[in-house]
Amino acid sequence: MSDNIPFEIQTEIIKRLPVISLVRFRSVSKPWKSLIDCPEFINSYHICHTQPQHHLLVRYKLGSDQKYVSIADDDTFPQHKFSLTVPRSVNLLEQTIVLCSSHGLICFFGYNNELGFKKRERAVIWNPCVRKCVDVIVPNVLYSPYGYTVVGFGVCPHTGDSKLVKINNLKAHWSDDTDRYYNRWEVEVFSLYWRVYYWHAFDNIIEEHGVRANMIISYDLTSGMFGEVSLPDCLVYAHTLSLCKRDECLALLEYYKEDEIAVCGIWMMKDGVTGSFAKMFTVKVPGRTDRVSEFRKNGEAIRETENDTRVSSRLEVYEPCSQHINDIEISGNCSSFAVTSYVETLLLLDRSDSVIRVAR
Amino acid sequence: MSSSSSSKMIELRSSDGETFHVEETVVLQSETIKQMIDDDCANAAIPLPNVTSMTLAKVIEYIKKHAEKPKDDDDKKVAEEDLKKFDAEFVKVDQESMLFDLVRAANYLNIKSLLDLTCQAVADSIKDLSVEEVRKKFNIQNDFTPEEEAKVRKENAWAFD
Repeated sequence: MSDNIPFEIQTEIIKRLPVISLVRFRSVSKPWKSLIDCPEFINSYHICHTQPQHHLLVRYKLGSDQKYVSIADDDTFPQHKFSLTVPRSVNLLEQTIVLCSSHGLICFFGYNNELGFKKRERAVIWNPCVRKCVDVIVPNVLYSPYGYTVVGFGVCPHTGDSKLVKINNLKAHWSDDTDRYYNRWEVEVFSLYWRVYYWHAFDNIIEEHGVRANMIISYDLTSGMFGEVSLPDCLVYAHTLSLCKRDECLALLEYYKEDEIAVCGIWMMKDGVTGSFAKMFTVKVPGRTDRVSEFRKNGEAIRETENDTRVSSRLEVYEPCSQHINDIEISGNCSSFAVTSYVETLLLLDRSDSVIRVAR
Repeated sequence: MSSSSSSKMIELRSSDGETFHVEETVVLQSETIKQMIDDDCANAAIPLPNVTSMTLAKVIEYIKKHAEKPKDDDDKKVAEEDLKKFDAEFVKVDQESMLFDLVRAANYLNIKSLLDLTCQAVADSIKDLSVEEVRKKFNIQNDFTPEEEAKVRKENAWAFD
């Protein structure tokens, strides 16, 4: 059609293609394949792309079937829905949760029963757009009454490295030296690049009043520094608090009752200043119990709402300014919904599906 | 900047010899031309041997529109919407070769926003094409052997369904 287009300009065009086209166009020519497969291109694609396509992953149960649906989060929302096939290793997990998504990678966590009795915990890191996944066996996960384990996941924006952070809280021990109970904390970080748990630390935290209600620990994916997110008192002692991402920032969801109506308050950090959380808006709809699952890229809240019969739920989207509610037209079992927002990325394109067992 | 310097005109000459007079403030959106002006090479008409008059006229239409400054904040929102509409219409060209010419011109003149706009337009127009159609469009020789190509396709066979 046109005279030769210099490869430099072809590169500018290739950078702006959606992931599915890039996966196909690897077979256009050797230069195209080398460009698309090159780690720098893969790692920077989702950062440099000026209009990355956003999606919502909806995981829910309908009867005994586990369903996965992806909805394009753009002007067409919620018209473009399609069902997703998750990796086999995700289907084999028990008590599966979607940990979170980061830079287009979705992390599932759960366990397999090995030999019928021993639990083996796994994280499955999955890129739904290029259909690649990596399983990571997570060692030494604690259950009650010995303590508990919290696992977090994130992708370093600069290197594209996936990291799992595991914090074990060992049950309180009495210390004769200090005449107090203390909790023992263990922290491990797993890096997909290095394929090892490379960092291991202990800390003893003495808790003045026995149990702290809510505490948020942050981990900087670039510097590797841990920190505590300081919360206003009303959130430290809030009865139910959960974490979410809104517009790539930390959002806290506080659930409480107001005039016998279940309310969800959405708190966010003001101008990114630590410790200065402010309530952005509340979701208060009479006569229903509901839970905010996720936010759209435009900030609207996605909620699961029980149907009148109270055996099934449906997904709705709540617009904070107009307080308007729109049905997304997905119904499933009550309390079975998990929604995760993700962007299209090429991460993991250069990897073959694998299982990583870490020797300790 | 004084009012006299803001209305200074710069003369551009296309590959086919046509000259265009454009305000300096407008033409500064081109990093390439800005460099020439900074280096004091813009006293006579600036020759643009890679850009035809037809393409240059389009480029000037674009940079003129993008140089308009909104008066206040209210106006700013309206202007942003207006600019979005303009951009969307701008890349709806009759002939595809024109779009490629604009990409080349934006690249040569180093106008980032125009390069973004036109490259995205090309990307949108090719994203659903087959591999063969892409090769034809970019005049690309298939340098894979049939075995190599089959292997690459097999790695992501699902994407070809």
